Amino acid sequence: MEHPPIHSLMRFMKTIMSPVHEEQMLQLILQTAMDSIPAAEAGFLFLHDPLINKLIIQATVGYLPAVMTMTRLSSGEGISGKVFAERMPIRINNPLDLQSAMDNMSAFNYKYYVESSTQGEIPCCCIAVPLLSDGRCIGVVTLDNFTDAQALTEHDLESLQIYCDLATMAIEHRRLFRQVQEQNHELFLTHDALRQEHERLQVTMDFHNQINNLAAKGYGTPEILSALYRNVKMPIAVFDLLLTPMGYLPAEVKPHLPDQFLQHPAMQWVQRSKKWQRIVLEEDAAQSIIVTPIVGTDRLLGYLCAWTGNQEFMSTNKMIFEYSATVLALDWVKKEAVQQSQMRAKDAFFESILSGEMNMSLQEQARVLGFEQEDHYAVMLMQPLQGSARHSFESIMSQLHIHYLLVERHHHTIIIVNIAGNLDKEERQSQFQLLLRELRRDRQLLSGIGRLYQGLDKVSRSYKDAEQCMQLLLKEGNQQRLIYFGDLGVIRFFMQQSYEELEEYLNDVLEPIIQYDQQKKANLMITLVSFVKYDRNLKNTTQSLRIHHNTLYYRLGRIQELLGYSFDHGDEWFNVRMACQIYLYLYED
Amino acid sequence: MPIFYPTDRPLADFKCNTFAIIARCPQTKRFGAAAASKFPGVGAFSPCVDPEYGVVATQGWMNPALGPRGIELLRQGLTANKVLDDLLMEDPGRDLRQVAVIDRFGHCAAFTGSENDDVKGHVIGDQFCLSGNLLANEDVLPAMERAFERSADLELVERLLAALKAGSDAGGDRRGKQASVLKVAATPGFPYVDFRVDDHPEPILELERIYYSNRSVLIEQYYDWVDTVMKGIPLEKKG
Repeated sequence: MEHPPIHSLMRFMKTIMSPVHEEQMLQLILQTAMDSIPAAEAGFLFLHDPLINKLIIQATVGYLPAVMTMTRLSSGEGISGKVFAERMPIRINNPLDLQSAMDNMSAFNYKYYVESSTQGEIPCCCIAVPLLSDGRCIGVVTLDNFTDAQALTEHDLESLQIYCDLATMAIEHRRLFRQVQEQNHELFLTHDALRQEHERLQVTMDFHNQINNLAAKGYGTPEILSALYRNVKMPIAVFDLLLTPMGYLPAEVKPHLPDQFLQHPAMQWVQRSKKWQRIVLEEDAAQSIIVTPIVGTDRLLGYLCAWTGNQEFMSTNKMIFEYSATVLALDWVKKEAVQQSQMRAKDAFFESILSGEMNMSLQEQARVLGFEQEDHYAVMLMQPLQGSARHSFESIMSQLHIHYLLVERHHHTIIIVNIAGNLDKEERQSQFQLLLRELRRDRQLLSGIGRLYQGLDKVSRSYKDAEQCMQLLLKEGNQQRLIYFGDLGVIRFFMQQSYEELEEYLNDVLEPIIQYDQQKKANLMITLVSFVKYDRNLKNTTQSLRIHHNTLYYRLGRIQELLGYSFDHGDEWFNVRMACQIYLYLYED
Repeated sequence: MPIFYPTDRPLADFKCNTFAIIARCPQTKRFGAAAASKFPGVGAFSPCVDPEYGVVATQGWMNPALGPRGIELLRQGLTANKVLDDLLMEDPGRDLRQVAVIDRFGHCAAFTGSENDDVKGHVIGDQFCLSGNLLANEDVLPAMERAFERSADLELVERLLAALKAGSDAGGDRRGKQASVLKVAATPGFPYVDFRVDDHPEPILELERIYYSNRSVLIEQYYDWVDTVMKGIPLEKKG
């Protein structure tokens, strides 16, 4: 084989390896090969398209490119198709053989060939060489001469083979380079996607770990909310089922929910499906509330709400909210279970204490609850403590650092107040009086309070005191909010007597004026009760009854006359006062 | 865009309970999907297949808008997980839906809303995802999975058909069968395999018949057709 001159090969290599686009490179390959083979008047370069399994012209010289590029040669079709199929170079130097080789071309391909030829219908001679790479034929280069059947020689064919080998390397190099570029692009996209996924996962995992640590350390709702707020950086709040706020952040922004919030279609769906929803605010369509239900053992316990702009909403990591709601639910359910368990234990302890029995086991239980035998105890009976009343009560006890045991009964909340035994009497009374004062100031609480006794075995006595106070409170129609047994005075003794006995005493002393009032439609009893109440102060009595002092003088005279008593006489006045107290005790309501 | 919150009583007739498969061929990188349902013309609603970016299938109490929206998000370069997340964030009725997404990398993400009827669920495999609800039994999805994995030497379209048939043979949709769809995409703008049976007593067998009887015309000359259309030249008959 004769080789092309070295300078020709160098020029060819330099050309095909120059930094040009692929289409230009293929055209340069063809053009440079033709420049090195002067007898070549026209030519084309095919590349195989594996998708359609056809040869497609990529570069032409001496043909009309617009028409030639429409050619699609099958394997074995025409001269180039034959070279592609057989993977062998070919030289045809006879027009008849050429025509014969082109006879199997499809009508369209032959038409394109003829229409694109600028020098004659078919050439006089041609040489065609396959582009072979790794045993595969990737294309064909075909060169033509239109004037002399012997113009293209075997030497030209051998030269073209060398050029084609070099061209194949360049084309494959380009292909591989393009493949690497595409893979790099894919790699970049993969890396970018991986980074995004990693960031999302990392945020979720970080939060998961934070919450896990909080849960493991026994922290509750405030700490969970803090962790959530640090992560989402948007206002958040937790509500119970009735939308009472249980906590919110930031502390300076009190959460506001729209009117009729629970009736909103999205909230109805939250309640039904127990899954999160976004609620666009009617008053500001650019704002939304993300409502995540707090669900424990298939029960709806409350709602975790977050306020966000509609733009920020899409970047919100909803898993963080769902996880927070789950941990809140666990915390609430756990606390509820602990409370119920404690409640049962307290109930059992309380029942035993009320029975007045004291044994080692009970003393041990008392010690566990922080109650010592030498401490002082008082029992408070209250109307069932709920909502803000309970919160208010707990707040008072917390402020005064008073230890207590609270149990619920059907109609009452019962509290055993514990005053430490190491205080002296003055300190003890001072602390107890302070408690009574604070409870009296709270208008939500309705309490009957027993006396303070030393020892758990006296709790039952204080309980009886408290019961009597409560009866009195209810009897007096809630005009008083708190009655302490120690303040009852003489009424304590009335309470120990039967109704009949008290009424008998009353009739013994005051029957004449009671009957007089009934017969004459008079007001002597009211007058007497006021006179007793104001401790015989005439001015205060006339003011309270809104009567003239002469009227009062007249009535008092009539009363003394009917009773046969003199108010100046100490014993008689005592009897009258006592009877009036009994009258008030029995009939005031 | 107005937001329509779900209600307790969605329209029963629009319950598109379906079993479906979406997949990417590891060799050809083509995306495809197949589904069958007792719901007329299921293929008009789902799946949405993009030849370059992936597939979104939606069923259950179907929101057909999720398909095109999901493809839009996939084209933005989002991963299957993120696309699914965004779709569900935007849809108040998410708990009624069943959605499956496969992205350009072949990664799958799926969601089965709690309000779908049992038997329901999804299975994520290597570059494929199966989903179904109101299925006849627990065996439907595993049968589809086995059929798809055992046919790894076949073309994607045939693997999809095999999975669909296996799902049907295992019980399929509890309410019966009515419609089916088979899609594989290859070139943007040029439908490749895109066959639907909208109402037929044996929709999967009919789908299979349509595919095999038309494969030589529509599938085997597909790239010739694409090439000639793009170049503006006539397509010559083979042979």
